[in-house]
Amino acid sequence: MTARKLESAALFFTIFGAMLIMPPLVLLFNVKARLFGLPLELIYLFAVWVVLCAGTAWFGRRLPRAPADDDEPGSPG
Amino acid sequence: MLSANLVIATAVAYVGLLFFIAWAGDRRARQSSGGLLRSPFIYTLAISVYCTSWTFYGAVGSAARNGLEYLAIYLGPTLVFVGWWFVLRKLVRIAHAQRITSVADLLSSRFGKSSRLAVLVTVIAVIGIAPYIALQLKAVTSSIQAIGGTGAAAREGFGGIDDVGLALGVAAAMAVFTILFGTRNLDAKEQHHGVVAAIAFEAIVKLCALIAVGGFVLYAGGGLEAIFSNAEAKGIDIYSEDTFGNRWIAMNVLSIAAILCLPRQFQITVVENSDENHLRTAGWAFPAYLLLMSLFTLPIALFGMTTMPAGSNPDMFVLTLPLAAGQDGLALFAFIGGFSSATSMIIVEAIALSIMVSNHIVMPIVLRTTGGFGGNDRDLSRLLLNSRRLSIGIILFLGFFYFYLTRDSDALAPIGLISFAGVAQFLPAILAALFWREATMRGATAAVAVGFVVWAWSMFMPSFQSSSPWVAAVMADGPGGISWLRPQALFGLDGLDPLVHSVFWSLFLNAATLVAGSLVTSQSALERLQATLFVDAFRRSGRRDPNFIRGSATANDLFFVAQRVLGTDRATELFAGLPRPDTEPSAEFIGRLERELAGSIGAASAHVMLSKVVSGEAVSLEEVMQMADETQQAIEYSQQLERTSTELRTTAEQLEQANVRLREVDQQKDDFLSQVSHEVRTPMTAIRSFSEILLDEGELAPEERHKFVSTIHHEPAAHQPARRDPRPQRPRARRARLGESPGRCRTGARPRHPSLRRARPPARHARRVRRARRCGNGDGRCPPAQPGADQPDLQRHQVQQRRAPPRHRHLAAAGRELPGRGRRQRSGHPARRSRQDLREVLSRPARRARLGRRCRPRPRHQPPDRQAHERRTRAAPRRGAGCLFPHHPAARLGALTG
Repeated sequence: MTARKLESAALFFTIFGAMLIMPPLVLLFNVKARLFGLPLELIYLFAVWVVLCAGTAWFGRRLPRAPADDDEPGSPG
Repeated sequence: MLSANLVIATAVAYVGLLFFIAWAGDRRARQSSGGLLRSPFIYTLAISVYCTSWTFYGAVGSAARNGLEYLAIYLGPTLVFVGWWFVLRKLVRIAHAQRITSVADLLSSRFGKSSRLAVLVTVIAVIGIAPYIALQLKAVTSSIQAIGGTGAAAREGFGGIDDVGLALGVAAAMAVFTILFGTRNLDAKEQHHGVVAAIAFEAIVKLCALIAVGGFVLYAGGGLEAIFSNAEAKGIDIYSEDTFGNRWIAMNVLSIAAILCLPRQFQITVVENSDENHLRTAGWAFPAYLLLMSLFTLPIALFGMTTMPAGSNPDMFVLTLPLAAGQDGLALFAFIGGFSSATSMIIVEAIALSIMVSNHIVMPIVLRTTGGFGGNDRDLSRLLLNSRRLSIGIILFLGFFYFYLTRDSDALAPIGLISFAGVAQFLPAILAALFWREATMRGATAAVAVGFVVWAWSMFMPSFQSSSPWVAAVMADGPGGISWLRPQALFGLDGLDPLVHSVFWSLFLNAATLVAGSLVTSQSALERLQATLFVDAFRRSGRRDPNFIRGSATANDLFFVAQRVLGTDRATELFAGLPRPDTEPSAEFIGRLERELAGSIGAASAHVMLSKVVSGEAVSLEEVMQMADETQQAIEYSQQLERTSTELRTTAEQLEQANVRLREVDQQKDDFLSQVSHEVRTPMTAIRSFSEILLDEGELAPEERHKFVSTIHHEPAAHQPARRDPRPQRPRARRARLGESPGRCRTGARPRHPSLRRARPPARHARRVRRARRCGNGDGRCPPAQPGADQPDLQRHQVQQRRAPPRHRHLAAAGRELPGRGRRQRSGHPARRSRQDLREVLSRPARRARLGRRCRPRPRHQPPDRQAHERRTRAAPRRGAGCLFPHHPAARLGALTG
């Protein structure tokens, strides 16, 4: 994946992450159901949270690093 | 039950430990390059100063009252850090490049180093943070009361003081801590390594304390499932059915704004950042920290609600649950955790706010009243530090005052949300500063002011409802009975949650004012430059920042200023590279100095200060802009020149080619003319010689005489093809001159020199016929026409070989051997060679002498007709080229250039 694509991916990762924790998507899981004895929406929110952390760690390792001109496409990531 | 003395002693000991860590951290940072202190994990832990006693105590209370709603406070910052690449990275990059010291400095610097905006932002921040500090005071006071017990016994333990007195004591103690912590020295970049180390340590303490309590609750409650089942059985809503509505969205927006705009978050995340790449780690580690901090919040709240007696304060479950179970040690640890989160917040927040106050309120006043620094003996560093100490005292007192006024409210979280909404008013301006080039200072100032007024009216003021009857009346009926101005139903919009209502109206009007104001007003020159620096922060990296101050001050003057602001050591270090103290430093150096000063006293103050010292006048920014315009024009002009130069080069090349061709053609023409003249002259000379011999010498033998006469007779006839009228052939001759088909010109009709036309025989057609007949019979005199003779690409020597030159014919008639073909094959001029041949034929000395006299050889290198040719051509200019090639581009250019 090129640096530019990676940047776009990081942006959409953030945007879709925000959508996941906002209504109406979060309402899908706001039902009276329990998973492993816990409310479903609690599990859902924490799962999204974990995914967001992991995804950010993944992006953080790959996004271009050069501090001087890291806007340049194709710089080492 | 723990004794109050033990609790207070533990707290003091803990603060002592913090001091030690801060001192060690500072020393370590000074001695080495930092090492562990500069690691991204220390940075991440320091960012978790976001988790205050609101998180530690208040989140549990929030979870007990509103279910999962408390998560919104942590999911918003998570989103900001997940998208660190887009906002935080830019903020950090700009802050490093511009030596930004606070939110107020950021906005002021971006919007033309405006002092007014900086003051406004500072005032709003101080007012907006007051509830937040009050929250910490309230939490610490409550926790001390909770752990020391309530009721009369506890009162006795605290010397009979009530919660207000306790809060005042806490505030005073906190002020002392903060002053001792944060204002020991001035750093050029406002980085406090010791404080960061202490904050990072506190982050670990509070996380461990909360997890310890969570573990205890899980153990005591019999596991997660049991806790939830018991809570459900007790009729508690564990599904948070009404959580994800408007309030959820509003709280997410607020927490997103808070993580960017809160002065302490800005201080830690942006100002204290030593390496942009630390954000890579913080991007996932800080959300993970938040996740761990909020992991046990809901179980603790549910377990507390299930087991604790009705009416107990859910905000203190973290303390009261272990106490109820008799776990005093755990309770003390939890108290230290809560105390830790409160102290870290207060320390960093007060430091950040005091920097803002001293840089943007105290410094401008000092600059204005003292009119610069002449004759002022007070050390500016000391003044700055003292103003910061005073600001810290004022900020904590404001917090206490707010606590005093709102002491009747019980929950912690709503107080914090008031602060969040207050600082959220900076968010539109900050985003515009980073991403919208056209945002103007007036637009931003108006937007922040409008947002602040709406917030103060709809959210801040209603929090005094319990203590002020006037506020209660206004909230019920509106000011003076104007119902559409009711604080919680502005413009008749009621039915919304008060938080959502206030957040919506304040941020909506804020953003609308920003957009409209920026579109209506225009930017000043400095604003435009700063806007480019901010919006194109990544594009401009590595380039030199533009300078706004022209140097007309000596290095001595500047050193004087720098010494007062930065201290002697730092100033000496900065000025070490300068050649002499009495020279004028370069504009670059002044720009660097301004940024260094901005790191200590803010961009606006540094700009004002240097403008006063350097050249003693305001800098003409119009001039800078004019220079930029001129540069732009120069660039365009140079591009035009370049284009013209390319055209010229092309034309010159064409000209060169044309010149080469001209020379070629000229050479051909010279050759041609000399040959023509030679070919005409030779037979003439021979005829004249022969006729002279015939006239002079009477004793010639008849056969000899006859031979001579017949030679005379044949000579002109042999030249018939060369003597035709050249006029019909002129177009072809011109072509030959242009070098288009030289072979053709030489084979067919050879053009004559004008002087030769006189010798043209009259009946040319008859002679042509005769010649054709003669050539056809192959008598040896006229060589048969060679195939391909008319082809234009025939070489010249082939053309010459094709026919025998006329000068050889009389030699052949005289029985002599034909000389080598082509005049280039022999040395000497052809005319002279033929005369030599003639002399050999005519062996008589007298005749030879006469002949020699008459046929005096011409100068060797100048064929006779060349002179005539030059006489002719001298009349017409050759160089102008217009005569020869009137339509050639080079000729046109020549005509244009003269």
